[in-house]
Amino acid sequence: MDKQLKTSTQHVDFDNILKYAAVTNDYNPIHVDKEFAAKSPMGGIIAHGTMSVALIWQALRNTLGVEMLNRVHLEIRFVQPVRIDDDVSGGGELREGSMPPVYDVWVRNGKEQDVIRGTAIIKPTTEKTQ
Amino acid sequence: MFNYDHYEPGKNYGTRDFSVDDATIAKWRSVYPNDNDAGVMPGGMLAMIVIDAVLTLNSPRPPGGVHGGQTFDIQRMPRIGEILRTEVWCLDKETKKDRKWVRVRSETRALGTGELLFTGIMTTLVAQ
Repeated sequence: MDKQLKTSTQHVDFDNILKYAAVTNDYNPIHVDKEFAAKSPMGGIIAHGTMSVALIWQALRNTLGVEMLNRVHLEIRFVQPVRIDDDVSGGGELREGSMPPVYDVWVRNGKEQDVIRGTAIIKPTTEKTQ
Repeated sequence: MFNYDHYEPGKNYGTRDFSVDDATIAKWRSVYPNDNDAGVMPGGMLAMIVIDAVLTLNSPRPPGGVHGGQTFDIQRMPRIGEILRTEVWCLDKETKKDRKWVRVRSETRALGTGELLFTGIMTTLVAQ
C-alpha cells in the first residue's frame, strides 16, 4: 500500500457550487442564497460538504486504483466549512502498521486547515455483506 | 415540515430510485472532469445518491441544515447504466448544546438483483 495518497485539488467558486447544487438537486439556501446565508450562523455561503468529499474519493482512486474502491469503508467529519474561492485539496496518509490498512484522510483549504477529517479502511477481500 | 421532532429512531422512510445514466454522469463530470473511469460511477457520487434519497424521503425540510459527517461502507461501486434503490431509516437523534443532531442510515442496492452495493450513515445538524 502507498504510504501517501496522491492529492486531488479543486478551486471552489460560486459557479461550481451552483453546478454541484444542480447535479445533486441540493438547493439548501446555505449553499446557493447569498442573502439567506449571510444572515445564518455561517455568515455567508458555504459549499456543500460532500463537494469536497469527492476529492478524497479521487485521491483513493488515483493512488490505489478504481477496483480498490470496492473495499473502502470511509468515515468522515466536516470540521470546517469551505467558502467561495477556497482552494481545497484531498489526500491522506497510511497509518503505520495498520492491518487492515487505514488511511487518515483529509481535505484542507488554502490555509492548510482541515475542513474534513476521517479514515478510509481498506477491508479484506473476503468481507462481503448481503 | 420534516424537522427534528419529526424524526423517529428506527423508523423506515421508504426507498428512492436513482439512475446512474449517461446524462447524470455528464453533469457530474462538468464539475469533476477527471472523474472519467469507463463503466464505473465516480466515488464522489455516492454522497449524492444518499442525499438525493434523504432529501426526497425526508421532506419538506427546514432550510439551513448542515451536513456534519458521513460514513460509507462499499461492497461494490455502482456501474454506469445501473438503477439503484436506496432505503432510508432514522438511526438516532440527540440534542447537544442546543444543537439538534440526526443520524440517518441508508442501504443502496442494485435494482433488479437486490445486490447490496453500499451502506451509509449521514449525520445532520437540522435547522429546526
